[in-house]
Amino acid sequence: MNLAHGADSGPNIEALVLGAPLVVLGLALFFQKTANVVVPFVLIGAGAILSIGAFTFLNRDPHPAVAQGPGPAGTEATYAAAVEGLCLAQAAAADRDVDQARRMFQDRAHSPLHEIAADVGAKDRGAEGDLLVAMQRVEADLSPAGEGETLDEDLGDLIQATTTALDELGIPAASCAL
Amino acid sequence: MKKLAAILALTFLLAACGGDEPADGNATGNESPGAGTGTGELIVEPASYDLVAGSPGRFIVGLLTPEQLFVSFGEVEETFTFLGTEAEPVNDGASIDGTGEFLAIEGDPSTKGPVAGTASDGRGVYSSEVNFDQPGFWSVKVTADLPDGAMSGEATFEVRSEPVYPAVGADAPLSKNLLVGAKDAPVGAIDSRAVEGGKIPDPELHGITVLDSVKNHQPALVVISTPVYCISRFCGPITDMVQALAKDYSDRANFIHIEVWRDFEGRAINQGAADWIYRGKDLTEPWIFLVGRDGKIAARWDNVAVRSEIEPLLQKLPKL
Repeated sequence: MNLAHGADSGPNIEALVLGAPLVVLGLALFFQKTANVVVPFVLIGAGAILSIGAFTFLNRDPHPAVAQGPGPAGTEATYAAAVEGLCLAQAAAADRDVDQARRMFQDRAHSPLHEIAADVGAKDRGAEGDLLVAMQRVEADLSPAGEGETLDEDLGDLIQATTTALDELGIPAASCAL
Repeated sequence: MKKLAAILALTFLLAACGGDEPADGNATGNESPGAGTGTGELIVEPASYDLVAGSPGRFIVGLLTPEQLFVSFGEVEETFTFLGTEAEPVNDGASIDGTGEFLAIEGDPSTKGPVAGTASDGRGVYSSEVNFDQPGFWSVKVTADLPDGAMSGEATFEVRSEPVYPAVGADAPLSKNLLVGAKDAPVGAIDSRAVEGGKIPDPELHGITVLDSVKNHQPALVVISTPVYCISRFCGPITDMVQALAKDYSDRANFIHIEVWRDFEGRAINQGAADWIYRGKDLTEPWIFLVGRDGKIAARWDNVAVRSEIEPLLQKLPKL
């Protein structure tokens, strides 16, 4: 198994970074017997600073803090993306492209819709129920056993239920373009 | 010369050692998953509801990439480490290695993996049989060998000394679950999918109570779920799968769906569901139980289950 993710064959920066202070400290040894006694100590100081810098560089986190998925700050954007996903699913349904509608629903809307439902449920259990019922009708349309004849209409109802829930949460939701 | 060389060596060593110590002094405590291996960081979400020490149990876990893509298909490596209890934490707990096999709820199970993709590409959990030898807190480190390189992640979970929910070998709760045509309950209490329109989509799963099945000395496959109001998001596919099994194995067992909610808005749970899955203030769903002719639980599956786990047991049952 390849655990060396990110390894490459480019120039060895680590060797260069580590080598620089070694060279300076080596020069300090070389000049220790010169007439000017200050030179080796200046070189030692420079070498020390370079060494600290080198190891600080080498100890850097190769995986700096990256996004850990949508957090609270990303919630509104995530919810807006869910509505967008529903709009795109409805457009696909209108074109009778059920596979595309399923992808848009599953990949862009399904998970955040559950989050919206849970959020609004803390304030209004009825609105949560309405949203989940509307969602289930769409899921039934998209299931292998579903006939999908009412998919377009059911997606419209789901968009309405989602918008209502977002209104209750004080989050503005854009309408699907006509 | 020796003095100067010593100063030089010390300078270099001090620089090398600086900042190497973890802030908490614990090399394995708070470091980020995958740190030191050059791997990425998986989001690891244990999905088991009732892990019990002392006997082999089914451990299931969901995996996501930091970009929120689902890790699906194939197998993943797992290392379980005992962390101790709240009262007695352990630093060097024993480890158990395992292999998680993918259970596909969405997507073609034969797809080569593991791969990271969207929900419509594949969705499910990795399952392994693990014998946790002691109760307490455990960690799992999961490594998935993805096409772009291996990724790892860790999570912590609890293993109990005793089961909270009905376990294998225990007497099945003798529920008087709601049947089609029940006069004393709204139709949505029989199946939440009937809450609008009134049509129960799986009437064959609402034809007998668990009590009567046990009285008749007949086995039963019982699914407790709420396809509309599901928190786990797996109730719909699980219930559909049990319905499909009912069509194929109606001569081997009774098939029963118990809806969780009597009144979702009013937060009222059906007694038949509460018998099985409501403990204290905790409600977990979905669950599937196989009840034997003797009225005892022969097998159980929590949260996520696939046909290939259940079907072999149904095939072994004598005909009714």
